[in-house]
Amino acid sequence: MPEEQVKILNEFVELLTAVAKEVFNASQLNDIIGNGDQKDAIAAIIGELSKEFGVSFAEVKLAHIADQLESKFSHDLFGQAIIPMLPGGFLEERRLQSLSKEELYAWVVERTRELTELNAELEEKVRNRTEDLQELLESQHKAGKLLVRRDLELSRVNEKLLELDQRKSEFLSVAAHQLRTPLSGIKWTLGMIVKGELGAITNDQKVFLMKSFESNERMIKLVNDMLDADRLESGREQSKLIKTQLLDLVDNVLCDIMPLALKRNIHVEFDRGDASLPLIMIDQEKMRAVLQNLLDNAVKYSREGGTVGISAKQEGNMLVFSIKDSGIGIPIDQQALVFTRFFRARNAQKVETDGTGLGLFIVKSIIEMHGGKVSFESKEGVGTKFLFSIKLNNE
Amino acid sequence: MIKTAVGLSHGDDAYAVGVNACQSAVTQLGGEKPGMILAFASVRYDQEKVLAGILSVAPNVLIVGSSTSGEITSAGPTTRYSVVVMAFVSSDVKFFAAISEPLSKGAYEAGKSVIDSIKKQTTEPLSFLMYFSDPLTSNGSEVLRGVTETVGRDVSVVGASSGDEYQFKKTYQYLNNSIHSDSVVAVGFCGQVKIGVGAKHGWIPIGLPLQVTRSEGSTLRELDGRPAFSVYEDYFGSELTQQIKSEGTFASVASMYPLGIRMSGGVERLIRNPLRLQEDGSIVCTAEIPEGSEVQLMLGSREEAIKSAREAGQAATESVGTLPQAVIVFSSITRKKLLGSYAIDEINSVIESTGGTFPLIGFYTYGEQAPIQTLEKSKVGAISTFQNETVVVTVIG
Repeated sequence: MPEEQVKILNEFVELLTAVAKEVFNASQLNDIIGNGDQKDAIAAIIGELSKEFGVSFAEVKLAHIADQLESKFSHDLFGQAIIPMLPGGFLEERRLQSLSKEELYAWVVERTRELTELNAELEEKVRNRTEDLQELLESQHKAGKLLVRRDLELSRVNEKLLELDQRKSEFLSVAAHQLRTPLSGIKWTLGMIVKGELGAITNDQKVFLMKSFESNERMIKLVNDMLDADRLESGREQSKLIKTQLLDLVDNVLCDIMPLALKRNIHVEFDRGDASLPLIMIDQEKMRAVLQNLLDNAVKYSREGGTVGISAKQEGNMLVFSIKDSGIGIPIDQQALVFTRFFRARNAQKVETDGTGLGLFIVKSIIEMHGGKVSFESKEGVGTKFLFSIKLNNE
Repeated sequence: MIKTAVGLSHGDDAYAVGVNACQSAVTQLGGEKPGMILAFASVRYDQEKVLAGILSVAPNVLIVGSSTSGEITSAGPTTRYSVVVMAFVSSDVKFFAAISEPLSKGAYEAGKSVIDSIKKQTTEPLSFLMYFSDPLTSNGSEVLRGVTETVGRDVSVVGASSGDEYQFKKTYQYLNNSIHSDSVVAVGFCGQVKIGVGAKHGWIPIGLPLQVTRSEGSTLRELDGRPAFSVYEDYFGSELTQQIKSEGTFASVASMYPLGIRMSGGVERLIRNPLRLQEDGSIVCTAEIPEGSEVQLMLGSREEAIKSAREAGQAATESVGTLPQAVIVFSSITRKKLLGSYAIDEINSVIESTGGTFPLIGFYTYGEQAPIQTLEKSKVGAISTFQNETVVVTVIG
């Protein structure tokens, strides 16, 4: 190597080492340089500077050194002696300027090859990614189709069920209407026979006829409940709202219920609160049906010797009525169905074979008709508490 | 300040039901004569008799209304067919109403004509405009354009498309003692009144987006170069498609899976309900679907529907900024179908989000017109768009 080149190279190494010393300590620098030749040492220092402080930091430092050496020596000498010693990618502009035409051609060919390879690689990646994405979209589309089809099938089945339910309701309503007249006829005829108005009957005959009379009465109650429920649901009936003292209405209904309570040895407690309640606008006949149904259930489903607690009080602007029994309770898995028509809990069916399953449906419909809300808390085997609340100033 | 009261009545006798509903509302106003009555009635009633019943109780009162696909009060959707009315009394607010030229002669012109007629009645600026239109004879977007361009940007506009309970045969619009079809009836509020509007749908897109390759107004001809109906065939499968075709139930089935148009600047899609399937496989929708736009099939869920009702209620209440005096709800008939026995939850969430007990009235519609939430806040001047599957909550403060 000509002397000039050796000189500029030494100075370059000196300046580069000075830069390295600014940022690395002596032992770090020794580790970086290692035992390689000058070219290796230069590559190691530039590599480490790039790694620690970024490629552009190294590039700026190299450019600064290049400027110094080029002005001291010459541009060409720097190109000949230093550029070949630098790792690829640094001072590329100076490197290109120092290349001969042939070298430049080779450089362009090489770079083009590299770029073509890189491009092919990228294209491959994009192609794979697009395929993945397409597959994903298609499977999403398929899932969408399945979802719509399943949703549609279920909706159609649901619509058919609703239609059937509607028809069933209409059929029941018609059947109930049609049954009422003949049932009344049977009641009237049986009554006449039992009273002996159609001639004398024996006691045995009377016992059987009384059983028939009672069965007929139950049937009439069922039909009447069904007609009530139907009327309430259709909204055909208007309420006749009258200012009423609810406590009096409760007393009145209690008079009807007490004989059954006494017979079953059930203790009924009525907590009237401290003050008398304000009058409330209600349809007396309908509210009577609410109380009758709730009290009837509480007594019917309480164990013999149990207690039924009734309370009516004012809470803010609301009148809250509750009735708590120590009865059989409602199984937790059936609680959601309590207010639906014809629902009877499985334990209730065992205790009391009669019952229409319409009482609580009627209760809910009437309370809601009054703008109120009804709810319950129940534990199977422990008891049930029904609550309803109605706004006091619902005039 | 506006004072309102709601009356509801059921029954078989159309005249008596009209009388009872109106009587109930008017009585609650304690003897004050209403300035305007909004009346919504089931299409099952003889419409003229209903109106005659209402007029017998409130003669010489401005009456504006529409046939429905289900009526709404604060107690929720009415269980059987009914008539609901809301009576308005105010010393600060005046009401002016008009009926349009027939829609079939030109939807834009009809929208324009109804506003021109109102403007002729007063020189005062309008504060709010509500209108009811026949969705079966026109492109709903065109009607809305006619209305909004004539009324001006400063006026909040809310509209509802009259219903006929999924029959898609004939709907009615009321003005005073006359019943119309193929028309727009509108009522303008003049004076000191605060209005807040919230509109949301909550439907979500499914499957791949499709390009609208051919459409004319509200007739969608091709999607991705294929007849528009083929998309539904694709989704429903051939067996169900055949069944739906033979039953003639395409409109009511497809309304559960409407088309959502992607809009620039908004996440919420604009929804279009298919109304009619034509022999060439094209679909007539409730309003236009522009050529070149991107659509997706949409699917609703109960949870999202209830959530969106709450959001619409909140948005309306926030923008009115005062205690509501009345709430008017227009909800898509498809939401009623989707929610089934849970439809009451949607109304309850509107009541909860608007915060209280005040008169509430509304009906189930074939189309809703209001500023959609994600595009612009429901401020006065936000442009209303034609929508389907949406719940629109209007709070009057």
